[in-house]
Amino acid sequence: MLRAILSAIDEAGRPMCLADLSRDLGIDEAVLEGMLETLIARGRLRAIEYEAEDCTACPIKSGCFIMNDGVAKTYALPPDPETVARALPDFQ
Amino acid sequence: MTTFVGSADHPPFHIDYGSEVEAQIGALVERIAAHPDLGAAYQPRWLAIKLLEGEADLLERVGGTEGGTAIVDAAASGRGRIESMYGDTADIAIADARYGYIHGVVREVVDSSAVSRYSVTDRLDSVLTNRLLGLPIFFAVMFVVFKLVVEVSAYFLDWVDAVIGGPVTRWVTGLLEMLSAPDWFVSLAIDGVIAGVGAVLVFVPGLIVLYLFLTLLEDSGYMARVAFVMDRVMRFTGLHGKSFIPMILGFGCAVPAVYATRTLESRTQRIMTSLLVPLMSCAARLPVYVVFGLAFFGAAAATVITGLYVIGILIAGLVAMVLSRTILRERDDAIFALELPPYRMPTMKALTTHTWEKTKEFVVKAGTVILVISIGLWFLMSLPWGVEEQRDSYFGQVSAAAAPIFEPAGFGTWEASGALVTGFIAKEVVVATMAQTYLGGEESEAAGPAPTVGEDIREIGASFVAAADGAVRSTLSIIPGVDLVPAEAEDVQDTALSNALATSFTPLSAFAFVMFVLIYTPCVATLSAIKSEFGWRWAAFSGLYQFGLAWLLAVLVFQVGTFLGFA
Repeated sequence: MLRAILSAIDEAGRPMCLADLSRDLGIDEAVLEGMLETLIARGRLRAIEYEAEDCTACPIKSGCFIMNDGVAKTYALPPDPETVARALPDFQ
Repeated sequence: MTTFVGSADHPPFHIDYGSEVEAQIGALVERIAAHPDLGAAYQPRWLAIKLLEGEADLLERVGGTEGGTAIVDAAASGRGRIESMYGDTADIAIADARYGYIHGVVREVVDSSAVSRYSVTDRLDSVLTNRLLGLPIFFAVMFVVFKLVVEVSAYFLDWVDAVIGGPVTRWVTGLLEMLSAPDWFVSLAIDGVIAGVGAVLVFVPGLIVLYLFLTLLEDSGYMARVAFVMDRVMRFTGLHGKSFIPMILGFGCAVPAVYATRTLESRTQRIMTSLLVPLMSCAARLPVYVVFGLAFFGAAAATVITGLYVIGILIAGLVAMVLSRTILRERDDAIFALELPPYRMPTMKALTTHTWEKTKEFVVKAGTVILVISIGLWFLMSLPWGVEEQRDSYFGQVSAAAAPIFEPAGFGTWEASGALVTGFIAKEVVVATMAQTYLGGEESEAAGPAPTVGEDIREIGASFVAAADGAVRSTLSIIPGVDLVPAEAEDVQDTALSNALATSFTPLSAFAFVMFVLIYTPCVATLSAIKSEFGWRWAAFSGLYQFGLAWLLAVLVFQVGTFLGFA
């Protein structure tokens, strides 16, 4: 189950929201939330929360598909350590 | 916390973690149970699972007991075996099995297909999101909103217009004369700044009404229904349902709307949506519609303004159909997941906060961008220095050179083309420019002695109360069967600019002009947003195709109207 979540996000190639994951994986949102929290706690996933002001202008924020408990949130895989290392400046 | 350890009738509950994990759990349970302290202090199976999951706190505690190191080592060995079997860390493999069980239980016991209740929200949705009724209801709602904007705000619009054109102008003139300011500076302040910025600020009351009702529709949950209804229409035109979000944001301002296309996955869909967003009438265009609506269409102003918004949407649909079948051919069948929240009554705090945020943005723009442009325009209208007629100024000459282009559309005057040229910078400037070209040189009426500052303030207060009274009566009169507006006040108030325009346009050329403003080249800020997102080629395409389309439709309106005898 947990690996299916990681695979789904990896295959999508972009952050996914709770609703999209729930629909794609056929897992109840309440159950999925616990799974996502487990993956975040283990450092396998990161939650991206959007600044509230980014959404204030949105006319359909009340029914937004990435809104989760009043917070616009999506889930992404953590950056690949090798990619991060390459992006860091060379201090040597 | 309550722990169930089971009884003779109810054996302890265990999740089956699979043979590999269970084997490691079993081996650890034996060791824990045999330990003199741990077996009594912890439920062995629970502790074994936690150690296999690598719980640092428990590993430390167990390792600190006598003989505990062997258990910790056994747990590490067990984790290694699980990881080699599952190809993932042991904690993830165990959590995976646990959630797999929970998922199975939920599927067994939760019946999500059953409709538990037919709530008020469901009843409303059966009508508001109805396949046939949804769209007409949306247009009807928007008509009521624009009717309120025009009819209710007209009272305040008249009040602000009178305050800016009267006391404010008198006070600034008096102050500058007291400071012995040169004549050109007084002209810059009155004919440039106050005429330009004031002409835009006059619409603040109308925009407050518009923003208030749009916020009401958004926060009540209705806009989410509109997105749902529009999804079907969007798909028909070749757009993705998600395109609705940037499209409706375009009614406020096209710049954030272009950036909002980032919610779309496909680049083709993003480009197409960005090309259509400027066809949604932004708030900056509303002042143009209101000025012309009041000047030429009187009581039908709300109908004309609603019509313009609908025309914008229809043209966007047609353009989408053409683009999706030609240069931007790509079908995106991804599902548009949108939760329809229950309807709710928005709080006063949310309504006022959101309305204020949007209004503030408009006022700040008037105080910055439009102020600078108004000053620049005044100089362009005054150069070469000492020019007698605005028509002979640099601005007048450039505008006159562009005017013949608009001749077939019925508004080939230098004033109209000048306003359209400055509208490239920001659409609010169209009205600001017209105020300078049509009103800038006008002498204010001087009937009798000028009132004192005290008299002015009393008059401002009294006229505000009268405007508020008229607005409340007008609002209540929208209810069928209620008519609280006195017969002599039935005529919608006009602004000074509306009156000036009535002498330069006919109703037909005025309609062709607002059609042009609706469609023509987006403002510089929107074009630069498109450029930053998709490159200058698409920005140039957006500017050119909209100008061409606007010209074509304005000419069509004027020529067909003339042929049919509406001129």
